[in-house]
Amino acid sequence: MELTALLECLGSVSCIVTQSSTGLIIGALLFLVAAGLTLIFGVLGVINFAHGSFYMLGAYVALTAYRVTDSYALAALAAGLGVGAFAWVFERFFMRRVYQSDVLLQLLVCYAFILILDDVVKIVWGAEFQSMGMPKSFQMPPLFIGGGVVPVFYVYLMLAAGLIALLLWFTLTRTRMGKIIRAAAQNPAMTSALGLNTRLIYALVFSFGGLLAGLAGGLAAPVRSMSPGMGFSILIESFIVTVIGGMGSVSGALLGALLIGMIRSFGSIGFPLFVEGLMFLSMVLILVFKPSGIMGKAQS
Amino acid sequence: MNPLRDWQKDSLWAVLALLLLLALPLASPSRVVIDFIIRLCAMGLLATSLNMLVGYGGMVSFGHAMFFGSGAYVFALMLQKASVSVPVALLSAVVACAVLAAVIGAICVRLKGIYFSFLTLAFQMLLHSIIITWTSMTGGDQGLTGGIPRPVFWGIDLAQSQHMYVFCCVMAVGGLLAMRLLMQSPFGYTLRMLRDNEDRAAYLGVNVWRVRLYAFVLAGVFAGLGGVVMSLFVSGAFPDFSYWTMSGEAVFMIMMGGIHVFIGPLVGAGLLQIFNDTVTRFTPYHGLALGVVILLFTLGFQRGVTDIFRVLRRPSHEAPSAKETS
Amino acid sequence: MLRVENLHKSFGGVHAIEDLSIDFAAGSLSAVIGPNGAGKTTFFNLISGGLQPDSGKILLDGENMVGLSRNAIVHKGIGRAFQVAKLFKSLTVEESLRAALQSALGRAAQMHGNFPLMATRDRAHEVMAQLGLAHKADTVSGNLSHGDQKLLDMALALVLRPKVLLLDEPVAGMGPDERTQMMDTVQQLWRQGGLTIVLIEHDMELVFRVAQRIHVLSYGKLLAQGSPEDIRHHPKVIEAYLGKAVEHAGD
Repeated sequence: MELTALLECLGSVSCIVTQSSTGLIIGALLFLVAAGLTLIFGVLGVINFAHGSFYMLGAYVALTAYRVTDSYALAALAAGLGVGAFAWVFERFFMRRVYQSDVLLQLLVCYAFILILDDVVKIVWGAEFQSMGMPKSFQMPPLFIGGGVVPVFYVYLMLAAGLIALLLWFTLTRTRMGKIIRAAAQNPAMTSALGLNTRLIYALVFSFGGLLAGLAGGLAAPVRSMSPGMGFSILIESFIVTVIGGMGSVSGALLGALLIGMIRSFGSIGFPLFVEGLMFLSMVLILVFKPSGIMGKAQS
Repeated sequence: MNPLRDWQKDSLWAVLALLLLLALPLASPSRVVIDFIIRLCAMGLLATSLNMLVGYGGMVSFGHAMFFGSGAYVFALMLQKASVSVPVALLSAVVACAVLAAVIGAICVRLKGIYFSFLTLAFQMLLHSIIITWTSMTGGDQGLTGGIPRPVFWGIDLAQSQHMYVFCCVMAVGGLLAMRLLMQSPFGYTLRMLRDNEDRAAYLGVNVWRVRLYAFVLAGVFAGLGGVVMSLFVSGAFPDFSYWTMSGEAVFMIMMGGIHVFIGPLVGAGLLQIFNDTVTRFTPYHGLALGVVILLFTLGFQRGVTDIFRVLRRPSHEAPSAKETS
Repeated sequence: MLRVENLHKSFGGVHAIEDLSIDFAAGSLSAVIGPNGAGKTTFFNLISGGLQPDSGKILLDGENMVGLSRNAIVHKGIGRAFQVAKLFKSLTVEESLRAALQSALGRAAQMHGNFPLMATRDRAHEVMAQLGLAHKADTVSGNLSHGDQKLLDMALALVLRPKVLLLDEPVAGMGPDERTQMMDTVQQLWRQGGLTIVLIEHDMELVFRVAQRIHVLSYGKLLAQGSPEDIRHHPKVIEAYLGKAVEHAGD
C-alpha cells in the first residue's frame, strides 16, 4: 500500500486535478457502458453478460473505420451504429429465445457469444494489442489546470459523455418514447395490454444499449489499447457500477460510474496492486448494506 | 433377503467406480489418460459441489471457484511454507474452506436470486485480487511456483505417479459419494424444498438461512477438495483457480451435463474436458467452437445431456425411497 | 385459542389493518370475509409471521407471537394453506409431506441416513388418507390437478399437527362439485376435533353453510362479527358489499 503517496496527492491541487480528470473520463466511459446495461436490465429484466463484447466490438469497428476514413468522429459513429445493429440481431435471434428461461441459460448464451466474438476478433484483426493512436485533431499540448495535466482529448470525452447523458435523460423523462420505455420497465404486461409493441420496445432498448457500449468502445479507442478478451474487465466494472448505482437506474449508473472512476484513479496511487480489489470491496459493501443500490428502491 | 438401503447401493456403485478407475491404467497405461482422469477428479468435485447449490438448492453461485482456489492455495502453502505432512495440509485446506465459506456464506445467503449471484462473484473476485496482491505469500499473479513437497505419509508417496493417481481417484470418488449421501439424506430433501418453494418451507418451520448456510459451507469444502487435487496435479496453485473463468467453466459443466441428475455435472466435466482437449488439437480457435456448442445446447436442446436421458426414461412407480429423481 | 388485539398494519400511509381485535375460540370453525382489498390475506400474513404488525398483539394460547419468525410461529402451532397452492413442484405428494414432517421432528438438517425417515411415514399416510390423496402418493406435485394441488397445500399445513389452521380460499379456482367435496373435507377435519380453523372465502354459500362464526372485514377494520344468521341480516354488512347475495345464501 502506498498511503503516503495517496495522502501527498490529496494535498496537492495539481495532483487532484490530474487524477480527477482521469477519474472523470474513466467514469464517463463506464457510464456509457453501464447505462446500456442498466437500461437493458430495467426494461427487459435480463442481464446482458455479453455487454463487454459490445464494447470490444465498438473499439475494433472504430479502429477500422478510422483507418479507412481518417476521421475520429466518423469512427466513433460507426462504432455506435455498427454495434447497435449487431445488438439488434443478437436480441432478435438469440436473447429473445431465452427471456423466459433460467438466468443460467441466459448467462450461457451470452458467454457463448463472448467466446465466439473473442475468436472472431482474433481472426479478423489479429490477437496482438492494437491501438488507434491519438487522432491528429487532438494531437496538441495538454491543458494545465491548477498545475495539473489535462489532455485536451479528456475534455472532449467528458463533454461528449455529458452530452449523451443529457440526451439520455431528456429522452427518458421528456419524450413519449422515454415514457413508454419506463412504463415497459415497470409493467410489461400492462404496456402490452395497452397495445404497445413490447417486442419492438425490447429490441429498441437492447440495441440502444448495445449502441452505447459500442460508442464507448469507439470513443475510448484513442486512449485504450485493444485486444480480444478486453470486453471482460469492462463487463465486470460495469456490473459493479450497475449494482452500486442500482440495477435499472440510469442516474444510479452515472453516480456509480463516477465513484468507480475516482476509486480507480486515486486508488491506483494509494493501492496500486489492489485497485480491482477496492472496486469489488465496494460492490460487496453495497450488496451487504443496500442491495438495491444507491438509487434503487429499498427491498422489503 | 432384505433389499439394500439406498446408501448401501450408492456406496457399492462408488466402490465399483473406484475399482474401474484403478484398473484403467493397467488396461491403458497412457500418460494422457492418467492426466485426463486426475483433472476430471478435480473438476468433477468442483462441478458436483456447485450443483449442490445450483441444482439441489436453487442457489446460483457465480463465485464458487473461490473455494477451489482457496483449497489449492492453502494446501500448497502448508506444504511449501509450513512443511507439514500431506494429511495435515489436506485437513488445513478443508478447515480453511469451511471457515471461509461460513463467513462469506453467512453474508451471502441472506440475499436472494441475482443479488446472491453477484455477491458471490464479488467475493470471489475480491479473493482473487487479494491473491494477486499478496505477492509475498501467494506469488502474486505468477502463482505458487517451485513445486510442492510431497512427504511420504502412511506409505503413500505422491511423487510417484501411480500413488498420486490412486490418491486423486480415492479423493474424488470419496468426495462424490459423500455429496451423494448428503443429497439423499433428510438434509438434501430440505434443500430441495428450499429450491422449489422457499416461502413454503419457511411456513413449514424450516430455518431457511441456516439450511442454506450449511449447504454453502458443504459445497465450499468439496470444492476445496477439488482444489487440493488440482494443486497436486499442477504442483502449486494459480490465481486463475479463483477467477471467474473457473466458476464459469463449472457452470457450463453442470448445464451441459444436466443439473437434475447427481452425476450430471461429472458427465459435463468429462465432456467439456474431452471437447477442450480435442478441439485445441485442431484449431487455435477453440473459443469459437465451444461457443457454438454451448449455443447448440442452450438454444437447441435447452437441457443437459443427462437431463435428456432422464426425460426419455419412462417414470416407474417405485416407492419413494428407491426413486432416482432429484 | 387465537386472539388478536388492536392489530395495526399500514403500508406507506395506507391502513391495511386498523385496530383489529378478534377472538377465535378453541375448536371453532370461523370465516373471515370481506370485499377485495379488505385486508384478509394481510391478516393471515400477520398471524402466520409473513408480516410484522406495526402494533398490537397476536396471542396463541395466551402467548404473544409478534416478533417471531415464520418458522418459529409454525413450531408454536399455526399452520397455513394458501390461496394459490405453494408446493414443492419436483417432489411427489408423499415426499412433500414427509419432508415437511422432518422439520417438525427437528431433523430437517440431519445429514446422515436416507430420506425419507421412517418416523415420518405414519403421520404422512394418515394425512393423505384424511384428505383423499393416498392414491396420488407417488404423483409429482407439479403434475397434480388444480383441486389436488389445493388438497396437498392443505395437507402440508395439516401434517405438522397445528393447533390453528389458516385456510386462504380453499376452494378458489374449483368447479361446483370439487367445492362441495373440499368443504366437506374441511368440515370432517374440524369435526374430528382438536383443530381451530379460520378460513378466508369468497364463496358465500359455502361460508354460510359451514362456518360457526363469521367475521367481516372492510378496509382493514372489523365491520361485524357473529353467527351466519347475525351476519346475513346485519345492515352494515349488506351495505358494505354483499347485497342480495347474503340474503339468499344458505337458502
